[in-house]
Amino acid sequence: MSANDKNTRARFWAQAAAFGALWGGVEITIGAFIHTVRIPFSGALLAAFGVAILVAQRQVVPMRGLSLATGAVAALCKSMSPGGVILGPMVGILSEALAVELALMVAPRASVSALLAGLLAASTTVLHQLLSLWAYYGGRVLDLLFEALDKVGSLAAGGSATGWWAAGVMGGVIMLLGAVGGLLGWRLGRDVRRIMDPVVLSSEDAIGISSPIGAEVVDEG
Amino acid sequence: MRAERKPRGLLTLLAAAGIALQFSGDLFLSTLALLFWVLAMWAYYPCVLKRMWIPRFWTLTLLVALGSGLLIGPRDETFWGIAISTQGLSAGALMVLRGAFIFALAAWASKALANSGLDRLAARFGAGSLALSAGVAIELLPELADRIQEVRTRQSGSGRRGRWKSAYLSAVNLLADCAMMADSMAKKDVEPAVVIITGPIGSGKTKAARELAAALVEHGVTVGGVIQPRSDGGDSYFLQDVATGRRWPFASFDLNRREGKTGYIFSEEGWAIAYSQLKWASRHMEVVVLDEIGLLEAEGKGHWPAFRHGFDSGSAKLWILVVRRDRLDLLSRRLGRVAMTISIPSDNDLADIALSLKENIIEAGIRSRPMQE
Repeated sequence: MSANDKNTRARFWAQAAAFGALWGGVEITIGAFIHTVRIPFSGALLAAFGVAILVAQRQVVPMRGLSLATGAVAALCKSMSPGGVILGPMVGILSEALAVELALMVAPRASVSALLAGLLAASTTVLHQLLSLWAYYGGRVLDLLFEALDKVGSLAAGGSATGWWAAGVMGGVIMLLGAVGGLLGWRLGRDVRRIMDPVVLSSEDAIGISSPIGAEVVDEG
Repeated sequence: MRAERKPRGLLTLLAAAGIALQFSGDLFLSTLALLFWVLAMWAYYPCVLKRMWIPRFWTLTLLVALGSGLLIGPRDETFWGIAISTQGLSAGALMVLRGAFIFALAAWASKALANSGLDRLAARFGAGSLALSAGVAIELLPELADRIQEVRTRQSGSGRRGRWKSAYLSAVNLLADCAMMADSMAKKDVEPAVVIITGPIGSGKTKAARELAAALVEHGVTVGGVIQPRSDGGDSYFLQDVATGRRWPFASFDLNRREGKTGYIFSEEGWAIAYSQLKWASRHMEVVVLDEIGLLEAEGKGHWPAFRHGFDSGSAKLWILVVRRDRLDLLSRRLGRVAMTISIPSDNDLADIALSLKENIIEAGIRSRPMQE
């Protein structure tokens, strides 16, 4: 492995450590606050914070695989949470990171990718909830859920579709939170780059030589 | 007192057997699996049973089970005048048993993993970098948690818009700090050392750099880079490759210079040669010499991009930079940690300095690398 590879590898894991700690910190501090005050859609809100951090990070350091590595570090940080079952949240963090990684694979700095990352990560929270239900109670719980949605709808004045509409609205809110998280991360990342660029002139930026004032070619001799 | 040593192997086997029994879909086998697991937890991990006591969760679970008796399958029995489905009810009971088993299993696994240290576990499975990174992250957690609380509670702006803006700017600063902290962690002890040769104009700095390079070569050290010797007439500068001695015209005095402009006209070709020579030397030589770091470099121009590129991505262990004394303060913030400053003409024992650099920097190699395995 060349020194260049080593430096790149060191930077990759250092970035994963710093941003993973940040995400872990958000999960512990803001997560605790959100759960304590019982804010609705707390899972989706935390996912939005996570997406914002990951998208902002990839704006600054566009290294492939970094979002997933950061998610893995954040999941390990989550293992420091006192008490309670940690496997569920750890799987949740990892699946969000995987979703962001996939979305940012092609164009990590594009706003469309950030939006897609937010939507995908938000959808993983719904998927994670459904999978948790399935893991705990088996496949029949999903049948029960669907039948319950029909029943709720038929009990309401709007007919059996009302339950599905309500579920759709909830899904929409979750996706909206994810999208906001993705776009916020994109904007934050751009502003962070503006702060960092004069300080850190990274190797990928230093592709040309700045011409000095009044440069002129002189004859060799 | 219960046994201090937990039979992890036995519990893992029991867990695997319990999971296998869940696949049968048989109520009796599921009950048996849960019973054995609860007994095992009571014996070795009573705290897991305490963790399982979550009234809201269990109320919901029982409601789900009863609901399945009412909603799933044909209603073939009547209890207290309510028609229920035995098929649905048994499915609901199975769900409760399975839920309880999986919940207890997850609580145990979480505790076992937390006790064994997930970072050590990751290292055991070959994810050493991840484990190292997680270890660093866990150390950073308290500090970052404090910073996050600051961002959350910071309301210095006036009005809602002002508060949002203030929180947004705090978030930007926090993320920037994070990225810069990571960069400095990655570079810590991985960076090459920097030695500065300084002195007033005409004191012989370039000559000293050449002599120091020659002394290092005599000690078996590979040296590259560029110096800028003055022409005999004194009105122009050459660019000279330290390794080969080859020269190119580089700068000539600008007779029509205006106030505030540099006094020399530089060759574009010279800059390109300097860039490529420095890049090559930073990858193939142990020491790189770079002459005349001055005002242009302080502005991020001139040799600066080549220096940063070679410094950040090259494998050289030492950079010798020649800086005019009156530019030293201006550049010191940009150059970071300096291992040694050689003042010309007072520090003239360059042979001794070369030996010291060889022994203390080049042969000592790059010291411990916190973010590298």
